[in-house]
Amino acid sequence: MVRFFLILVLCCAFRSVASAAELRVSVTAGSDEAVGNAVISVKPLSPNLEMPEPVNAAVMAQQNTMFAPFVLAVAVGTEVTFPNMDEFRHQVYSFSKPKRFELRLYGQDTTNKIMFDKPGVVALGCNIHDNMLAFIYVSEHPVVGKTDESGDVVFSNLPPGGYEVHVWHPDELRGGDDMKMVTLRADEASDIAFSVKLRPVRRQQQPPADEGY
Amino acid sequence: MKRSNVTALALWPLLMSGGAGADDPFPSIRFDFLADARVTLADGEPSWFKDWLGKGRYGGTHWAGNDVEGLRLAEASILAKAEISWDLSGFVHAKFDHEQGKPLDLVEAYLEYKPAPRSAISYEGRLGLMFPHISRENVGMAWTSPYTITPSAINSWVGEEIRALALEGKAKYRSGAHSLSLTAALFGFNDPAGTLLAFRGWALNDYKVGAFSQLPLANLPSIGADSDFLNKQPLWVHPVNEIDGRPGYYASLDWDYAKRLKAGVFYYDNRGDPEELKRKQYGWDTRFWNFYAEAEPLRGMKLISQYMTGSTKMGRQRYRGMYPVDVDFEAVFVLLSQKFERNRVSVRYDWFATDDNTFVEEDNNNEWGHAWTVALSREFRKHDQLILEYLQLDSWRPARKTIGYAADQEQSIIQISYRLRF
Repeated sequence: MVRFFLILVLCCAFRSVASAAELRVSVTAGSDEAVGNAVISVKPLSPNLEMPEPVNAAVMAQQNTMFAPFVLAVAVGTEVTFPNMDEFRHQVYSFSKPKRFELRLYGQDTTNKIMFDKPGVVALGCNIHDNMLAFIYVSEHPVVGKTDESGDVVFSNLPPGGYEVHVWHPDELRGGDDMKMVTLRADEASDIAFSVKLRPVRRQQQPPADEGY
Repeated sequence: MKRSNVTALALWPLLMSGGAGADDPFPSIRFDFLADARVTLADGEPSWFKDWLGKGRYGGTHWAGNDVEGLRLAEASILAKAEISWDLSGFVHAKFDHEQGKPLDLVEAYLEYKPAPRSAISYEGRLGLMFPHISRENVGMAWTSPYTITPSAINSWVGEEIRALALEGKAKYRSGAHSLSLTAALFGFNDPAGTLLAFRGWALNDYKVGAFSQLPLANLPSIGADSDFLNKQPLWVHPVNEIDGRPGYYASLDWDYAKRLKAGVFYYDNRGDPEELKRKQYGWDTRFWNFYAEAEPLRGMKLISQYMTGSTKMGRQRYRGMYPVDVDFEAVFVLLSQKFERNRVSVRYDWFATDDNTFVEEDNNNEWGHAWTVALSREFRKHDQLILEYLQLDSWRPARKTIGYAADQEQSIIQISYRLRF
């Protein structure tokens, strides 16, 4: 019996690796500016596709009076912990529609968790440190990632099939690419390029004003 | 230091009642210190601070011209921030300065209530002795400017004469990268504000007045006990003082886009009664507008501009309802600063003027002038700052003739400051 299951598991594993497709997404703005921190979410067109298990835990740390990361992409149902790595207090809040909350973080307490159960954009701030700013993008799609500084993100191990691929950025304006369709084939890599429109003045998390009191 | 004792007493029950869990040890107090060591080299007329009409905190000597002052302490500040609960904190800033009327004096002391925003509109409030948020330069610890040693003419005056014992409320609306704040306050204890602007005019110096300290005025023929014009105006001003028992108010509207574009307008009226005289100080009727714009066009670059316009009146009305002192004032500056990692370069241009509307024969308070400031700074250790500043002042003030100087004066001041923080 045990042997049977082992064989089954190995077969499944082999099968999924063997037939996995890769999706490579790049995001640019204007004349070829690479856009980092763009959230890419992937939605299978067929409900029968066996998607990879969504990651349902993530971390939004506070360190050196900054949030890290600046943009966190999670799927609905993800529990995010908020460890405070600083030796002073942070008072993290959000009044965004998908999740309103206030976390009072003192010391390196890692037990503070928030479950993000509704899709949307959650803007985070700290009531004590005005420079702190971060976004949690809660996606209703099972696969989600964000671009690195060179504007790229790669999803491997996706089952072959048709997908909607969505892009979001904190400084996105209307009029750029929003969503693209793609069909992934087994053992092949597909590329998608998004061209988005961004505001000329970008939101960024500035390091704390060292002069500030 | 009477008031700080009162503040401590007021805080006492709150300090004692805080819950003290291991992860939540309220209240907590944090202390910070700032010491400013200074070397200065100045020429031109002697400083207003030494009872003349010079526009710098330092100036030449009355007889010899140039003046070099060796290493000394320009100020030492102690700041205490008490976190009483998550939403309530207390702040005290005391300053030691051997040139100050009271060597150790109180600069600010207030309670701040600031709960975390629960919706797009959030509220906060302050109660106590405070600087209204006028200066866009003095954003550093202990009301210093990270850009220069010497603030602009506008913010020098704010430091010298503007302080409010206020109840201040603020509502802030946030939408995406935009935020819009409306602030309003009722205040007292700032009735003599305007005295320096009238009898001395604008100045550029980093002196901020303590609540219990007086500032000197030049021995002009129009004021002082021997004067036939205003003999009840002594040769000093005590700006943080309530004369007429009438509260004043200020209000401001501030817009912020992604913390990189800012603009705002501020209005102040101390509702002083110009005819009221108490404790040798008049209630000056001082009102002004302050406008500002601030941008960060490139990373590490700051462009800041402020424009102030207002008027001040003082004394018993004389014929045709004219006040003995009735002066309009106006000033503007543009500051450009660029930070390169631990280094910073700043350049500022100041323009300022006052316009005397009455009794110019007896008491001429007209003036105009402009100034260039160039500062280089470098950070050392964690937050220490070494600043080298060159200040060039050029101004015209006919009242100088009454104390033996030409109306036109040019002046250069070179300063080196080391701000030690711990």
